[in-house]
Amino acid sequence: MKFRALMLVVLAATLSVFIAACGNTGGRTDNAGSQGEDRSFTELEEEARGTTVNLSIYGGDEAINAYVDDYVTPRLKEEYDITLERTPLTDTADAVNKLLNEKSAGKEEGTIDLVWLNGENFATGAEADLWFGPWAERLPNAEYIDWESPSINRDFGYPVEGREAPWGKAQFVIIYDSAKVEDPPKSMDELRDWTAENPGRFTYPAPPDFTGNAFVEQALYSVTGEVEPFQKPFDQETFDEKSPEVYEFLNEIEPKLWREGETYPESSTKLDELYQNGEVWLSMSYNPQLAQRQINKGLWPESTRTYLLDGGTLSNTHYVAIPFNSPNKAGAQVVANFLESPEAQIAKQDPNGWGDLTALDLDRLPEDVREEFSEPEGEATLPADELQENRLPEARSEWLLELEDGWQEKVLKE
Amino acid sequence: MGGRVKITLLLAPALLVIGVLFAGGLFAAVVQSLGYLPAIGQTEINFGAYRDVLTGEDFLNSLLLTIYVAGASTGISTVLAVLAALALRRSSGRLSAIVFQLPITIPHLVAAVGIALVVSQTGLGARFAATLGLIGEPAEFPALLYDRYSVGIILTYVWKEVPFIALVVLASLRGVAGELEDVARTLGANAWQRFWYVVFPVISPGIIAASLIVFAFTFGAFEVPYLLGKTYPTILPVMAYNEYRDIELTARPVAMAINVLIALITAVFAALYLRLAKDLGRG
Repeated sequence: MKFRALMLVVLAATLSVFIAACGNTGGRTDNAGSQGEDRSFTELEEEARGTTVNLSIYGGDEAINAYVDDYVTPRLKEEYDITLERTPLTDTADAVNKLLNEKSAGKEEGTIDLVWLNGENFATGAEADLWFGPWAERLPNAEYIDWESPSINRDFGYPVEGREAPWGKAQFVIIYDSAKVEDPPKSMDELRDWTAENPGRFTYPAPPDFTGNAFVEQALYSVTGEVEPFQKPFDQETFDEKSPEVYEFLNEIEPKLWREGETYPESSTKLDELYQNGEVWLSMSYNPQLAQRQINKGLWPESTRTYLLDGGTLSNTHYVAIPFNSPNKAGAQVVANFLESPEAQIAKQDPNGWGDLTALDLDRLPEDVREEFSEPEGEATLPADELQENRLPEARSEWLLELEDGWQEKVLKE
Repeated sequence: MGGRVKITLLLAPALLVIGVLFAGGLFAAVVQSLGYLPAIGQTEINFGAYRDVLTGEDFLNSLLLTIYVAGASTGISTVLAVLAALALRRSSGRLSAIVFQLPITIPHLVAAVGIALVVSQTGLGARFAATLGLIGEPAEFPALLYDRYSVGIILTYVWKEVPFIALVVLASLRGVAGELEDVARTLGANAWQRFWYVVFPVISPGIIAASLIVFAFTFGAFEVPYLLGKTYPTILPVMAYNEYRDIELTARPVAMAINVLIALITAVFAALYLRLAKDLGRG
């Protein structure tokens, strides 16, 4: 009798532990937002078959839209039976705002499965716990990515921790028309002289435009001659000491800018239009292939050229992330994995298409695949190794936010 | 009694939509403007956002600009619309219908882009003027977009709103005004007297109502100033939007406070205007 009672107790205990364990796993899949992915990729693929994935992505660049619609979407349908729906955004912050509203309203089933972002949008979302994860390092194609590199595992200084998958890299370049400009300014000092000699022929997009931020950040590096302090967490004292020099410089060139600096183009698209119309002679971009693409399309003069600033230019990685309330997390991961595949990355680098730099580490790829990542072609592009050797890291997001606010106060309003 | 029930029933669907969407949105804006944002752990009610907005120079600059843009657009549109309506009232209905109804069907957004294509420094107007030799090169064309005086914005509004006001005025002119005017003419009134003492009192309620709608609309409208306005100062709705999309969530109450203030100011203007209409009617 005693033995049977003991057996019962043991059985009950085992059962309850088992049930509790089951309950736990159940809880984990339901509440995956905070726990990350634990299914195998084969399971994810299986689950994703026949589903729809909603990709929220900046919609202001036709080449990017075409890459997604004409290259990615049909292949996902064919290979994985996934329907990709692209939701264009004017500003990625709109998607982050939407998610915040949904989080505060307790909406557990959202409408975005995958969102393209980086930098402050990722950081803000991470602060509010908007991102599902970790998942990104578990993707099969993640093996081609150098997760040890700070340019990958830190997004504008913010730890990625597998909550977003690298999609590509951008590098800041300056664009000029060699028919009008013989010797383009390669530093902020030279820019000061150049604007004085060519009044009204230069301007930059108003922050918080992404490219406008980059220009101000680039000016910060150049004017202070320092990069290192801005990789560290924000500190007010350093900011108060360093930032006035930048604003002083920007205010100094302001009267010599387009429209005497009374107004600024509100986006990089607007600046590109001014360049296209010949109103300004210099433009700037985060896409080193943009100039060649615009020439090929016949939009920009053949004499357009791209160059880098002395001391290097900003470079960053952009990613895709899955919101906490994505209704199709499995599908989103399959899509992200496809976006990271060598063939999709090769197509993305095509200068006649998007022309975006790859997020993959070429050394990790098989020889034959590596060769397909060809050198950029055309007079207006720069060789890959020249770009590679002149990269500067972005400042951490907190510095950028302060820099933007300061620009509004000290440059725009004064 | 039966009539009243019928009116209530007929109004109910419209009131429901307005009540839920408009009043609901306004309520949410008021709540958020008071700093109640549980998403980021703020549940304390305070007037901090209003204090920040009202003591800052930015709001005042934007408010003045907004009043200027809305006032100038409304004033110019109203005068042009009345002149146009007076000129067109004797013409056949078809011509005025085409001239006036076409712009009404075109969205403000499209109108703004169209105006920009014509008046920008590299636009049609500039190229035309350069070809005619009026200016040396297109860039010498006066800056009418993103400019201090918001010429582009006002032009767009005038182009869009003149037909709207004119149609309203035309409708009231085609009514009893014509006959009254004929009576005045037989009694020996000259053109000015006929306009001021006979026609104007008949059409003034229509003018006031239509121009009030235009003022309230241009005061709170977003897209045209967003496209054609200067970076700073911006008109109030653009300022509210910039705060709203600020990546720092603490700016959200400020954005909502601006929105609530826009609603309040428009309401005050509307009240004053209606008061004026009443006085005019009595006079």
